[in-house]
Amino acid sequence: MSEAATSAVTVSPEGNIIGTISRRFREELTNVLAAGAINISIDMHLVQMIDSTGIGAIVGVQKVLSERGGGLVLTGVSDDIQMMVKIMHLDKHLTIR
Amino acid sequence: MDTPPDQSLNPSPPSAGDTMLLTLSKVYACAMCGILKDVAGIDAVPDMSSAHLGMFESPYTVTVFSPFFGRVSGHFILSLGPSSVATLCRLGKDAMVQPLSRAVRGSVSDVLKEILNVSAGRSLYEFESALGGLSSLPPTTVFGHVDLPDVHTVSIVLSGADEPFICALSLNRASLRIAVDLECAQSKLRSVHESQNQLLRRAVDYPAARFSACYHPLHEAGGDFYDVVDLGAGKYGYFVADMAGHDISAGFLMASVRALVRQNCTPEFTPMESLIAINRVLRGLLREFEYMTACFAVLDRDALMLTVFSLSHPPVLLLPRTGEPWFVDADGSLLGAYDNIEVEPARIKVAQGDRFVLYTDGLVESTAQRVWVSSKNSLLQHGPELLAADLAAVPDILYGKYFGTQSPPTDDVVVLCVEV
Repeated sequence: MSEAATSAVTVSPEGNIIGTISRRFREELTNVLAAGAINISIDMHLVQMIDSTGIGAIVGVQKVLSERGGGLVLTGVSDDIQMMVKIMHLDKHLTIR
Repeated sequence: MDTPPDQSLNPSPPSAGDTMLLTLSKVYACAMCGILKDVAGIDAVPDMSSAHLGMFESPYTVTVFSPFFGRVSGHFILSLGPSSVATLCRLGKDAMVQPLSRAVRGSVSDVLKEILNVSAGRSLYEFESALGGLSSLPPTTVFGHVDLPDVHTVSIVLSGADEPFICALSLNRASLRIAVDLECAQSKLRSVHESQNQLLRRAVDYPAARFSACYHPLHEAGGDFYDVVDLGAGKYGYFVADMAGHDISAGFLMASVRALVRQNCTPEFTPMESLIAINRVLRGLLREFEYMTACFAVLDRDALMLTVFSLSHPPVLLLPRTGEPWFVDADGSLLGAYDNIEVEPARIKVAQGDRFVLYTDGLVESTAQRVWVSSKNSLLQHGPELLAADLAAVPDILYGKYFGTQSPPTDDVVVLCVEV
C-alpha cells in the first residue's frame, strides 16, 4: 500500500452543506473515493449547517473507508453538529477531532 | 399578394399539442387585436370558432419571440388582406414610413414589415404589462422576418371592420413536443403526489388514535412519512420518518417504508423487534449514501405511559396539560445505514389531555439554517397555543409559525400531534 493511499486526503467544504451544495459535496467525496483514498479528513470549520444528504454522504464514505481498512475524521466540527453526530451514534463509526 | 392560409378544417382530432397551441393562440390573438388597434385604429376581435390548425406560410410575417410561456418559444404571424395592407401603408406614410424610409428600399410589403416591427414590438410589450404579472419579463423581441423552421400553426380569424385578418401562432415542433412532454411528466408527478398522500393515515379514519397531521413535501413526492398503527390492548404507535434527501426517488421509497411499518409494527412484536426488522430490510434496500431517521412513539392509553424510540430523529415535543413544554430526549442509530442498531428508549408517564408532537427536521431547520439540535428550541415558545388549539388544527398552526408564501420550506415537513 503506497504512502499516498494511506495518508489522509483532506476535503474542505467552504460553507454550509445544504441543498445542491450537499450533492456536490457527495460527488466530491465520491471522486476522492474513486481515486483510491483509504483515509479522508473533512475540515468542517466553515460548516454550521448540514442537511440529510450531506450526512448521508459522510455515512456512505465512512462505510466504504471502513471496508478498505481506513477511516474518516471530522475536524473543526461545530458544537451543534458534534452533538447531532453523537445523537446519531455516528461518533462510534468515525473520529471527531 | 397575400395568400391567407388554407381554411379547411383539420380532420384529425386535436392532439395535446394542438390543445396547447390553441390556448396560446387565444392570448396571441388578443395581442394581435391590440396591435391592429394601435397601428390602424381597427377594432378587431378574435374568432376562435374558426381556429385552423396546420402548417402556415405567409409572405407578410412578423415573428415575436416572447417569454410569455417560459420554456415555450412562440412565433407570432400576422397575415393581412390587400386592403389592410393599403390601410396600413397609408397610415404608415403619414406616421412612420418617412423616418424609416432610408432603411426600407423595397416593396410595399417591406414597408409594412418595418411598420409592424416597431408597432408590434411596442404594443406587445404594453399588452404584456397590462396583463399584470408579466411586466417583469424582459421586453419582447420583434423581428420583421425570419425563415420559419418546421412549425405547427394555428390560425385564427380576427373579425375587423372591413375584412377578416388572419392571426396565427406557430410553434416550433420541437418546442411544442418538449412542452407537451413536460406537461405529461408533470401530470405523472401529480399522480405520484396523490398516490403518496393516499399512503398516509387520515385522522378521520382512525379517531381512537386521537391524532392530527400535516404533510408538506417539497416536491410532488417527498422523503418524509408518517403512519399510525393500532398495537392492541389500548396501545397506539405513531411513526414519523425522514428518508435522507427530499427528491422524488426518496418519495418512492416511502411506499416501501409504509409496507414495512404496517408489517412489522404489530401487537405480535415489541417495538424494538419491529425496529430491528425494519432496519434489516432497509439495510438491503438502501444505497450506501442513504439512510432513514425515525421516531416511533408508543402510547399506552390505559397505563398512561409514553415510550419514545428515536432513531437519530429530532426529539418529541411534550406538551403537558399542566407545566412547561419539554423535549423527550432519546437517542438511537440511523435506520438502514448499518447492520445493527442501538436504541435507548425514553419512558414517560403522561396525563389525560397532555399532547405530544412528532415532526421532521424540515420544520425547524429550514428557516433557522441551523441543525435541529439547536433550532428545535424555537418550538417551545408555541407550547401554550398548541395546547389551547383544537387538536385537528395543531399541525397547520405549527407549520404556519415557520412557513408562509414569503418563506417557503426548503425540505419536506411532517407534523403529527397526538392527544393523550
